Amino acid sequence: MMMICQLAGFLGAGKTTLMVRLGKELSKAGKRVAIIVNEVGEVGVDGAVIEAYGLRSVELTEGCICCTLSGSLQNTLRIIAKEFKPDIILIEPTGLALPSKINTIIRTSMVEVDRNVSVALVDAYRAERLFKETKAFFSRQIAGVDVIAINKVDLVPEEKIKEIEDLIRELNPGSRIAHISAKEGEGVRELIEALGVL
Amino acid sequence: MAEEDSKELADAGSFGLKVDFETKGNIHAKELSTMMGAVLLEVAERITEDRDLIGHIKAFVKTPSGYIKLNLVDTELGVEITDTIGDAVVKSGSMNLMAAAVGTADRDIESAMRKALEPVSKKLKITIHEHDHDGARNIDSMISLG
Repeated sequence: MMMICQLAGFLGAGKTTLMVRLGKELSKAGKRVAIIVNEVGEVGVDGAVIEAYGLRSVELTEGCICCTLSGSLQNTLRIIAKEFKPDIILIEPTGLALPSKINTIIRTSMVEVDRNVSVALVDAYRAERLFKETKAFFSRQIAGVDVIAINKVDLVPEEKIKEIEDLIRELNPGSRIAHISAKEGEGVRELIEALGVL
Repeated sequence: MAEEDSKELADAGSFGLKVDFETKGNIHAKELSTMMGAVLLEVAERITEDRDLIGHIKAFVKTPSGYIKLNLVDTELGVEITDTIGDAVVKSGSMNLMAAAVGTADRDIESAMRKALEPVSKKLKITIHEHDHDGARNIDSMISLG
């Protein structure tokens, strides 16, 4: 019984912070966790951060697993599934990845997966600006995911969160929305329950 | 039909560097994190040229006494720094730097990062791991600064 959970979201949305929280929570609960982290640049930072928190990860760099590194992602999934036999694989794509494309890549990877869930993080502090500057791309990043998590809610007032929810509903009307602060741990337990990863 | 490239789709550029360093004299973590915070802000200033930063500039500094994690996503918010080194004196270590931003080319981010690192060489002897490609093999060479 293997599950895959993808933590997507734009550059700087807080994916690595949430990855560390989820990885630690799941490990604490006795789950065998494998982490795949992807960076668009030649040199990764997130893999080193994740390891500093005592978690092991496979880092894929110099491209994006939703397009240029799709083959590498499929190979990595196959190797991890066969050799490590995890209960759950957490995937942190680059901040430029499209989650729906990664879901297609997972589906065609020939890896037996019982459940595949995805979450898109939206940075509450920058959401309006990102929506304004990169609307088409932003829309595609939150399309087709199971949960959209509005992150960094500790940095903005309540009424701003409501406005961001309205923006999200305009782009993805049927989406399930969570409010979290990955840094402070706020709402993370509820997100874990919503994703059904425990 | 050509495969869609999400980086092109977002009109984004990116660049990353791996650096080893030795300090010139005693440097405390606080000074090192301030110095690296200034590097991240300098990269942002160079790549945005008065526009808002739509991206992420980050660094992870690893030393035998702990690490410093630095993140910049908004210049008004400033650089977020996590420091586990505390009061220890830093003598050597390594750091990974990465930046990705919308509306910027890879080469511009590379140039900004290298320029932003130049002032650091007054306090640190830094060795940049150059990352070139030869077919399927990666070749790492080294360039020293300071």
